[in-house]
Amino acid sequence: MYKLKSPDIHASEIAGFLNHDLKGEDFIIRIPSSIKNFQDNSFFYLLDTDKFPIERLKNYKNILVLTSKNLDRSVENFSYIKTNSPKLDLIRIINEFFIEYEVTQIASTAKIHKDAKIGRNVSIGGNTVIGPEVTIGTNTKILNNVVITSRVEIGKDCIIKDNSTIGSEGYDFELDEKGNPIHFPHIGKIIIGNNVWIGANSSIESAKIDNTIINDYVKIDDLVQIGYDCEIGSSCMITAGVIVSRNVKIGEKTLIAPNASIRDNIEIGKNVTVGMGAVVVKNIEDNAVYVGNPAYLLKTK
Amino acid sequence: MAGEKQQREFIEKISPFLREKIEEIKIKKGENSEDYQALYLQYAISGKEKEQSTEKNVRHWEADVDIESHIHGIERLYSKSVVIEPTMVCAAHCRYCLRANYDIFTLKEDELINIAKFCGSDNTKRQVNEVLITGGDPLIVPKRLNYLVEVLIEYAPNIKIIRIATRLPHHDPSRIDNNVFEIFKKHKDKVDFELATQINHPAELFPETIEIFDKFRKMGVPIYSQNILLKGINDNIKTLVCLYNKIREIGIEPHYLFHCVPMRGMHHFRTTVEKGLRLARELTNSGKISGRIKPMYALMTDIGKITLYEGTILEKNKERNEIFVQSAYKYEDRLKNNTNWKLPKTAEIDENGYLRTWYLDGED
Repeated sequence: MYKLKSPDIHASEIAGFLNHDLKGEDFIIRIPSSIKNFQDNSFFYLLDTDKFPIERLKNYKNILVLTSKNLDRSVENFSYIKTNSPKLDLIRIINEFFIEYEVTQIASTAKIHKDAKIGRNVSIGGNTVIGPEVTIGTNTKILNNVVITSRVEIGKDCIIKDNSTIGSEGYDFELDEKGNPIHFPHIGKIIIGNNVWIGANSSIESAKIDNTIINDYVKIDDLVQIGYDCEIGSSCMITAGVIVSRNVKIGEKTLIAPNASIRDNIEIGKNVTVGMGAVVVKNIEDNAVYVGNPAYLLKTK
Repeated sequence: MAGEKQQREFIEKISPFLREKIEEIKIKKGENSEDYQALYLQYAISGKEKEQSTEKNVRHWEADVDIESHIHGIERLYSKSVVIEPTMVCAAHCRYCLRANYDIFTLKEDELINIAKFCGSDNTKRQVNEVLITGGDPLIVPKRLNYLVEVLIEYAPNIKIIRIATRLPHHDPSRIDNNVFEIFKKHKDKVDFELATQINHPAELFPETIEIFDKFRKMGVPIYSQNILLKGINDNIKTLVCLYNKIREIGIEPHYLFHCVPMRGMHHFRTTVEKGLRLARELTNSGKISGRIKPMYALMTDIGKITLYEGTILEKNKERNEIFVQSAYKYEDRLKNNTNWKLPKTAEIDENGYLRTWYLDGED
C-alpha cells in the first residue's frame, strides 16, 4: 500500500503542520521511531503513562518528542511539541510526510464485470474479482485476491485488504419436509459506508432480503466473519478472529476484542467493550464491558 | 482557526538540499560569484533586515475573507479568483517572502471544507471559477492538499481551474513524489491544474528542479513563473535575459516580474520602480528574449497588483519617495468581492470610482 520514505524535514515544519509551538531548537528529522528504539534525527510520541527516557536521550541528537507533558530540557539534544494527542499526531505526521502511497491503478489481472460501477481513483489489486452489481466509491483501495460479488455498495476512502470476500452467499438453510436443508437465496444488499477498513481473509455475507450494513469508519481486522443481516455501527472496531453471527446489531464505537463470538439475533449497545474470547449470548446495554464465556458484565464505563 | 496559533518569527530556514547546492556553488565558483550570491542572498538571513527603513508594512495587503467565525487561509481581492492558503509552512524561507509575517498554521480538514463551501456558495460561485492554492508551500502537505482539492470538487463545482503555487522544486525536489503527482493525475478530469512557481535567478534551476518541472509538463500541467526583481540578485539585464531564456527552454510560461514589495525587512532587496521599468523595457523590447516569454512588470500595492503601462504612474513624491499609481479596480467591485475589505490609508477613489494608491519606491 505504501513505502516508507526519509525526507529532510525541519522540526518546525512538523510544529507548523500540527499548529503547535516547537519547544527547543529546530533541526532536521528524517524518520519516525519509538520510545524503545529511537535514533538520531527521529521523532517519537510519549504517552502520559510513559516514563520520559531522559538518560537514554543523552546518547542521541536531534530527537523530537510529541508529548502532552512539559518536559525538562536540561538535556538540550531534543526538542518537543506539546499536544493533547501525541499518538494521533504522530500518525498524522507519518501519513503526511513519511509515507509514499502506491500509485492508483487497476491491476491487469483484476476481473471487473463491465456493469460494475467503479468510482474515481479506485485502486484494484491483482486477481480481484468484482461482480456486476457492485458499486465502489471514490478513492477506495481494494487489494489483491478480493472477491466482491452479489449486490454490494462500498463507499469512498475504504480499504479492502487481501483475500477478503464481500457478498459471500449467506449461510441460511431451512429444513424441508424430509429434513433436508434448503438454501434461502440471499437477495439483499451489503452496504458499506465511507472510510471502512476490511481486513485480510475476512468475510461479509450478503443479506437475506434486507441489508447487511457496515457503517462509516468501521474497522474490521483480519480473519473476521460478519454474518448476514448484521448492522455494525459507525466507528466500531472488530478485531482479529471475531465471529459475528447473523442478524446482530452492534452500536457505534463498540470494540470487540480478538476471538470473541457473538450469537445470532443479538443487540450490542454503543460504546461497549467485549473482551478477548468472550462468548456473547444475550443483548448488551450501552457503555458496558463484557467478558468471559458466557459473557458477563465486568463493569460499566 | 482551530489549534494554538504561533506568532511567526521568520527564522533562517534553508533546506539541506539548498544548503548542499549553495555549498557546491561556493566551492566551484567562489563566494563572490553571481550564482553563489544569487542563492545565498535569497535564503541567508541578513543584518540588513533589522535596519531602520521606510518599509513598515508587515503584510502586502489585507484581503482576508470572513467565513462564519474567522478562519485563516482564505483571501479574496479580485473578481475571478480566491486565494487559499492551506499551510503557511515552507521547506525553506525566502528572505523576501510576502507572507513572512503571517502566523504559522496548517488548516485542518473541517476548515478546508468550510473554505470549499465558501468557494461554492451562491454569492461566490457567480463570479469565481478559479482558485490559487498557495501558502506556505502546499506541496509539502500533499495529503492535506489532496483533501482540499477533493472538497473543492465536491462543494464548489464552479471551480474549473486550480492553480497551485510552490517553490518546493527549488527548495527540495526530492519531496515531490507520487503523493504529489497523484493529486494532479487523479483529479485532472474534474479540474484543470496549473503550477505556479518563482524563479529569480538561473542558478536556481538545478538539474533536479528541472526534472520535476519536466514531470509536471509531461503530465500536461502548465507551469508559469512569477518572478521578483531583487537588488543584487537579478537587477541587471544580462541576468534577466539569461533567466527568461532558460525558463523558456524548460517550457515555463512567464507571468509577472514584480517590483519587490514594500515590506518590513526588505529594503535592501528593493530597486527603484524606474530601474525595473528600464530593465523590463530592455528585456521585452530588445529582441533578446522570445516574445513568448515576456513578463508583465507589476507592483504589489496596498490595493492589489498593478501592471505598469503608460500612464499608470500619475505622480511622484520625491520627499516621501512614493509614486501614485492608477488602477482599474473599482471600489464598488472590491466591496462586492469581499465585504470585509477596507480602503487602505494609502489609497483613494477617483472620480470614476477607480482605485488609486501611493506606493513606496525603493532605492538603487
